[in-house]
Formats: sequence, C-alpha cells, structure tokens
Amino acid sequence: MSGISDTERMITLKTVEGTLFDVKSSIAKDLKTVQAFIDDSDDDVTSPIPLPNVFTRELSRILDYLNNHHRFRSGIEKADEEMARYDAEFAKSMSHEELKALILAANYLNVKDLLEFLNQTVADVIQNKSVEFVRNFFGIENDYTPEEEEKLRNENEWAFNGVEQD
Amino acid sequence: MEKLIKSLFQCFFAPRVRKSQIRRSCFASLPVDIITDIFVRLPIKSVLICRCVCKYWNTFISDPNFAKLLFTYTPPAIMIRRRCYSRIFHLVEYDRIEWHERRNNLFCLSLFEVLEPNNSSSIKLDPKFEIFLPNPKSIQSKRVPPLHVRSCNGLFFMSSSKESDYSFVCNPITGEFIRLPKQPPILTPCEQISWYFGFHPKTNQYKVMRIHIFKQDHRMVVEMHTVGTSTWINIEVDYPKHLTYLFKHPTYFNGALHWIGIDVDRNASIWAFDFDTEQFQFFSNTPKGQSKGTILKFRGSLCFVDFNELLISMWMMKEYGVGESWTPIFLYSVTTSQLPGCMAYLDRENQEFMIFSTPWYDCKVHGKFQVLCHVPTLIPLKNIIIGDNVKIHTIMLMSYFDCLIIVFSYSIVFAKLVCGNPWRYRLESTAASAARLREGKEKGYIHGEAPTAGTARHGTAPRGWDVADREKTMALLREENGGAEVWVTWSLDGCRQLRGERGL
Repeated sequence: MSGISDTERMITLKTVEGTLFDVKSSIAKDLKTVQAFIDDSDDDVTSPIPLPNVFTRELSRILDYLNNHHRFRSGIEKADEEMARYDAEFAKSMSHEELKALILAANYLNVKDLLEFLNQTVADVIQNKSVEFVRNFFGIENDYTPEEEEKLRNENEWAFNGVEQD
Repeated sequence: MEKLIKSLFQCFFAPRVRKSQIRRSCFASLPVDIITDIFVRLPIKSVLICRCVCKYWNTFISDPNFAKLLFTYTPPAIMIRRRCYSRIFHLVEYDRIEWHERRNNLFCLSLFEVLEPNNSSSIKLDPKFEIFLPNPKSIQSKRVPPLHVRSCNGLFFMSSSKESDYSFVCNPITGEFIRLPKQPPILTPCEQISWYFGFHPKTNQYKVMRIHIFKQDHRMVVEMHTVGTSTWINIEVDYPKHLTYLFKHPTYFNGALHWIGIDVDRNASIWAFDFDTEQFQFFSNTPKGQSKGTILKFRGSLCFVDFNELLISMWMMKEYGVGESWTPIFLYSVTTSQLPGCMAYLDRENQEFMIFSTPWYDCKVHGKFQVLCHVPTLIPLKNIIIGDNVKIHTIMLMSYFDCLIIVFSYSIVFAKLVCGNPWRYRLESTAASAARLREGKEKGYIHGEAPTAGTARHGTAPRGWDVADREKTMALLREENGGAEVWVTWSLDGCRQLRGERGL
C-alpha cells in the first residue's frame, strides 16, 4: 500500500505462548534483534515475527517500558522527573524472578537502554548483600569447599564488614 | 487410549515445566557482558564479595583485564584517616542507595559522629580497614612513626620522614605493596621537605618526588623516582623568586601536580609540576585570589573550593589550563553560629562526591584527619608497575572485630590486641563515664571495678591465638589484671590511644 510512511507501520510479534503483539515500527527499532530480522528480510514483513525465547509477560513489560520512554522523550521539558518516577516504579513492581526473566528477554531482544537500566537495578539489589544472598539471587551453586571459602573471605575480610544480614 | 492420554499429558504439562526450567538455568549462566555490566556498577566492596560466590566468578573478577575495565568505570572514592600515624583508613564509596534520599547536594558532614550512627547529618563510613606495614628494624624507639600517605591513580605512596628506607607503594584494596629503594640523604639545612606521588600518563609510570625548598636561596631541589626503577634522579627546577610559600598538599590531575602558592603580594595562585615536561611553573590564578582554598579533582576536572569569610564557593576549570574558564558550581553561606568543619558535595547524576574540610575545622577538638581522593582498583601490581626486579609483597588487610565503640568525652577505655604481637592497653576513665558503664548503658562490655586512671598494662598475645575470640581475649585480660574484671572497649583506632609501639 503506497502513501503509508514508515513510522506508521505496525509489526506483529509472537511470543512463546502464541500471543500476538502489534508494535509500531518506531518502537520495534529499539528491539535490535527484531530490527535486524526486518532488515534481513527482502520483502516487507507482514506475517508475525516469532520470538521463541520471549514470553508474554516479558514482552508486555518491555513494550510498556519502551512506549513510556518514547512518550517521555517526545514530550515536554518536565519529562525527566516523570521518567525517573516511572523507572523507580517499574523496578519496584517486579519480583526478583521477574527481574531476572526480564533481563534474559531484554538481552535476547537486544534492548540496550532497558538492559542497562535492569543491570543497574540488579546491582542495586545485590549491593552490600551477603554472598549467600547473591548466590540465591543468581541461582548459582557454591563450588567452594568450606576451607577454600574461609581462606577467600579472610583475604578480603574488611569487605564483609557491615554487610546486610539475610 | 493410553497413547492419547500420554500425548495430552505432554501437551498440557510439558510447556510449563520447560518454561521455569529455562528461566532458572539461564540466569545462572548469564552472558559475560551482562555479568560485566552488573559488576562494574557495584561498589568495590560488593565486587570483592562476589568473588566468593563461585569459582567462575572468582576467576572472572581476578582477571587483570576485568580489573582494568572495572577501573575505568570506578568513580573516585574517598579514603579518610585520623592523624598522621594512623594506619587505619576509612573507605567511603558513592552509595547510590543510601544517599538517594538526601535532598540537598551539599551538606555538612560530621566525620567523627560516625561513631554515633544515628546522626542524620553524618555520612556512614564503611568499611574500615587497617594497613599493617612492617616497622623498620632500625627503629629502636617505641613510637609509631608518622606516616605520610598520598594517593594517585589507584595506588598509595607511604613514607616516613624519619626513615629514608621506609617507603612503599601499595594498593590498599588488594594489599599488595612494593618497597621503594632507599632515598638519598636529606639536604640540610632545609625549611621544607615534602614527598609527593604522581603519575605520568604517557609512559604509564608512577612517580615519587621529594622536594626540598630553600627559601633563602629561592631554590627547589626535586628528586624523582620512577616506581619500578632502582634510583632517584635529580631534576633541575626553577623556583621563582616572587613565590614566598607553597602549600603542602598538591593535587594530582592530568599528569601534573598542582599546588596553591602565595607570592610576595600575598596573592594566591596555582602552580604545577608537569611529569611530561618536568617543569615547575605558574599554572593559573585562583578563581577569587583568596589564599584559603583547596584544589580538588571532581567530575573529571580540576576544581577549587574557596573559603572567603563566611562564604564557601566551588569552581570548576572547564578548560584545563585556561584561567578564564573557572566556572562557579555552588555558593554556600555559613553563619557564625554554625561553622561546619567538614562538608560533602554529591553529584547524584554522575554518582560522584567529594569531601573537604573547612578552615573552621578545629583540630584541637576533633583531631587532625586526612582526606585522600582514591580510586579503588583490583589491578594486580605486576600489571601496573613496569620494571625489572620488582618484588611484590602482600600485607594482610584486617578489620577489627566488632566495631562497637563508644567514645566518651575526656575518657577512652580501650584495649587493642593483634595476634602474636606485643599489645598494651591503657585504662582511663572519669567518674562520670565509669558510672555510665556501671549502669549497664553500653552493650558488650564487662563491667567491674572502675579502674584507676592512667593504669597501663601490657603483655604479649600468644601466637596462634584467635583475635576474634572475645571470650578468650577477656579471659586473658582478666588474668593479667590479677583476676579482677576489666573495663574493655575494642578500639578501632588504637594508634590514637597507644602511645607506644605496634611492632610486627
């Protein structure tokens, strides 16, 4: 169809569960993985693009974030404060599980700004927390023997001062 | 029929199982760039904690390449120490979470109210750690030598003015240090001798300088040592006749050291020694021409904090080297009734901060302290110091166990013990503070008879003894005290009370 400009085009994305999301192509540009797929296709992409690693919950959140940020950026001067407030709420609204799932999805879709924001959120969560907390958060198994761990802790004993107890 | 049920089962349940399994296992093995991005956003303390999480993370964090990357992201932190012979440094890193709530950017800081953590105007200082350095064998006296400390580009330079072969370059975070070669004899008579530490970015070498200033002859003798080499080299430097006084603590920035100097007309100006040209020359005027000020590095620029009567102003040199580019950043008025001794300025957007003392800080009341701008680094010394025969030692960085300390005015009750070393404790108390202790107002102390003021006891902690075992420690002290109970507090800054040695 001629006469439709690029910014009005809608892209359809399909999640693992089969849910379809219609996304403006200007937003889709921030999903670099998707954009690469579009660029690689010879013809216009009309059928839904399947995202085999992305679940509905995550895509919905990502699109929510991107839509809001686009709105803030194109809007009036005061947007910085609003954006900060939105970001804080966004981070708070997720459980640790949801945060981790979102990072994986944002990484797969290559959404740079959101990923940086999420990584900072994780850093804030694990900052000044104990080793056990960090292990639990990342789901990492401890492969140290008690002696090895003791030795390692002693090397940097001062770093463990004042760490928040679980 | 069975087949149908089986396939229905698979269709119905399998996707859900797959979902959570995928999610859980994937996060544990995150891609390297995500882990890196998370680590570089952490304070150095948390990065060290992450080393203990698992072997892969330990290898990852211990990799010098990661350490180098981390260093480029690490914002400047502050190291504070009390007194010139203290070996305890308090590391203050930018605390994103703790300081997020603070409304103002500039606020008064009560440094030593850190001991009363409920004071809302104080920044929480955390962690504390002590650098143990070997005492030179030649020191016969029982005094702990004063230690000059300078920081530059992630490393400390430490020296004692009394002993010419007692100087080190160390990384306080990793505990690695190297001894510097013996300095040439001091030229006498000389009014001003000082030690400085710098970095030459073009050659990536650290430089230690010793400067003699002979005011009568208007002469400045500069001896330079490149860390990693084995000699000190004399550098001819012109000392201008009209410069009457050079303030003692220069600031390193951008490959040069910058001092505040006063000339014959009593004007303050900034002078610099550039490690590239090896020249000492006039650098720039101060923004306001006052003599009371501090040069700082902040937000990647050279800054000047000016104190004029009751006005504190901070200026930033937007273009390095251009005197006209001094731009005001903030202005703060104090009142005679509220003279802050120490202040902090936060730049929340860039997550940087600085701490500076003011001319109203009363050394006699609170004691002297030193603020060092320091960028913590995990880079191993062997990757930083280039040179033949560079021998790297490690010191153990210890924290004191249990830092619950109450300091009463006019009385300090303490004991200090380090495993395997001679120790001593001095008990001093006034009747009032003794009463407080007796009333049980302080936790964690053993109460008993108030000791006589000025009693000093000393002994030797047996080797292999676990210093962290309070019960054993108390038992030993009780024994030393002839079976009577003792008043003990665990002192963090033992050097303050200890008038004697801390041999190693």
